[in-house]
Amino acid sequence: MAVGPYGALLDAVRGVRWPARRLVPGGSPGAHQARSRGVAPEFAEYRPYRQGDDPRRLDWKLLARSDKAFIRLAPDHAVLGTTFVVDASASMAFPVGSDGKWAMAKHLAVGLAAVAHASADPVGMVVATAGGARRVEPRTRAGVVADLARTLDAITPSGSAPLAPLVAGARNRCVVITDCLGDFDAMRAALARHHARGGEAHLLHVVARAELEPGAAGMLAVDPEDAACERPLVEETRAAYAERFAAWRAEVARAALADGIRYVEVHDDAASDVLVRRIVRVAGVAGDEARA
Amino acid sequence: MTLLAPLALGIGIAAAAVVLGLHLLTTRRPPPAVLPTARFVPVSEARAVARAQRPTDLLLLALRMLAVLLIAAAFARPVPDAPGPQVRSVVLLDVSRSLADPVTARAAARERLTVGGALVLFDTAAREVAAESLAVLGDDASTGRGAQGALSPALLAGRRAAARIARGADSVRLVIVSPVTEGAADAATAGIRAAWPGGIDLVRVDAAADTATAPAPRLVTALADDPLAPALALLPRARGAHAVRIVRDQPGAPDSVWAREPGHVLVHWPLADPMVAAPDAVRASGTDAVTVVAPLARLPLASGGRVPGRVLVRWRDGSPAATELPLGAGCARDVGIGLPLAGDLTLRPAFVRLLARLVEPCGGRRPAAIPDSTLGWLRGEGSAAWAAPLAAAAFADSSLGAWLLAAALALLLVEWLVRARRSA
Repeated sequence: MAVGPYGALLDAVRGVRWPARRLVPGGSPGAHQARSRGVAPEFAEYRPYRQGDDPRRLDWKLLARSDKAFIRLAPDHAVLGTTFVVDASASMAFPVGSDGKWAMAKHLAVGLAAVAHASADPVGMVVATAGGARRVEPRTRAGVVADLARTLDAITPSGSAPLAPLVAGARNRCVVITDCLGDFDAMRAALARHHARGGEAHLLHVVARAELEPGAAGMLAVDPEDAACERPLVEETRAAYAERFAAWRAEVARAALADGIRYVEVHDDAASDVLVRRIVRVAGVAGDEARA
Repeated sequence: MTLLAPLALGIGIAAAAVVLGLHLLTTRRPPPAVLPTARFVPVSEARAVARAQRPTDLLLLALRMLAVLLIAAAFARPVPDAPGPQVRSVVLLDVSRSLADPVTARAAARERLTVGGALVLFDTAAREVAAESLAVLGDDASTGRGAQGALSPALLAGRRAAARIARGADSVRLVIVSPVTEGAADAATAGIRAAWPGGIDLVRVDAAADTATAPAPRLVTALADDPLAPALALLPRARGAHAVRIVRDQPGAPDSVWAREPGHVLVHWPLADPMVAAPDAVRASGTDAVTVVAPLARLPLASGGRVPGRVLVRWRDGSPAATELPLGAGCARDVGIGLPLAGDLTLRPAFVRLLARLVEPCGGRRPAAIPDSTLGWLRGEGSAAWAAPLAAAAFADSSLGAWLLAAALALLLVEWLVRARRSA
């Protein structure tokens, strides 16, 4: 697999598993507990036989002892399709030069894809670019993570593109990696609907350190996606900016968690493998504990 | 170079400093930088105030500061300095009949008139004449017709002359050559004097004085009991060399010839129709004003009241009742006050005083000189006045301020062109 700059990350997350947060629908055998009961060797419970049940699932020994017909049930396991929706708008190409936000988004996507693929889950990706959606269909084959990495490396963030339509077509587990500076409300509503349909919804909010702590020198801040928005970030406005930005991030987290979306705020200067481990952890979903 | 309003230059320097400060502050636009979260920056003017590390647009800055300084310099009213210490004099020479010896007065004026100075002749009016004319003035005492010199017009004319000659001078001395008789100063004189920034060199010359006793006025009338006769008898004997002839009928050619003689006063006072007399009042103004209220007839003046002579008496509505017109070396007076033929009007003290005014010498009675001790307010303190403030009055004629303003406007135009070219 052509891992490129992701080699260290993939080595670090090897062995990490990403269990589903809820029972998955039945399907191909996989690593996640399914809602359906199957005939696996592990015993789960008995159920009285009903007309139409497969007679082969009858527990004959129990029938012989009690003269009652019971069906032997066992937990079923299925795969969980995972789709990454990655924001490749111009705002992700920040800080200028290092593209820290975009680099972090790529590492998270590749790292999480590797973790999911390790559980034999089909992994796919949709990248929202100004030129349209770039898709990598969910696959379980061996090279799918490398495909994701190549696709991401070939993209340079620019322009703006909506995320909500892409979320609507996502599989059972939908992971949105974005800075939430685009169509956040629509995207959040789409994620909430996805969650309501039984899917897992993850929102990874990428924030650059330079956005949290802009340089001390005054500057005319220009929104890369809205050239008309240019405002002086100087000594007099710095405190108000920090306050409003923090309030907005808190509101984004609160709204996402209220919709049942697993929300994680990630900073571009954090270690990506640590973030991957934290994201896949089932406990500690909400609140500041979930933030990187 | 002297600045008449140096404060304006100080204000201009301060304004130039403000221009410099604004240039360093407001022209510094913060460098644009990409920030995806720019929407969270409070909305404010994109051209935020910031201090420039290094000033830019130095040409524009220089043009603006220079224009401001030029405007300030123009409003500072610069006047060229004199080549060296130079005192010029403005001589106010009294040429009224109040002078006892005009020759002495002119000699005093000539002595004090400096090169480049100004000469103002005054009696009841003032006029500036060429300084050289002093040499050609004759010794005739009748140069001025006024009885005395009036200080107010003289000081005003002197101030104007001083403003004219002050440019190029270091200081200006004001000299008054006059006997300064009673009535020379009016209500405005003190205020006008206070406007002169220096002292005044007051050269008192002798006032003319009447030493001889004038003959009694001669009444020429056809009436045996002319009402003026007893009034004339009550007149105190006036001092002077003048002779008065009162003609009750139409004056003839001999009267006119007589009136042309020096010191002769011909008074034409016609008789009135007693039936047209009505209660009225006449007033002779002046230092010894007198008012007579009695049944009087308004007689038409021979001149119709339109001759530009001196009005001696006026009716209560202001129309002339008696006028004086110079005639040769003497004068002729026309009295339009019709007297009743009966009654004691002419015996009243008020009428006698009014009659005394009508038989005064031509031009009025010569006033007495004011004691020198009471003229300290006129002399003031100090000597010559600094020329620069005086030249302020002539600033409108100064082309330097206008040139400075024109240069400033030209610089502003250039600044606009440079700015327009850079923004294009």
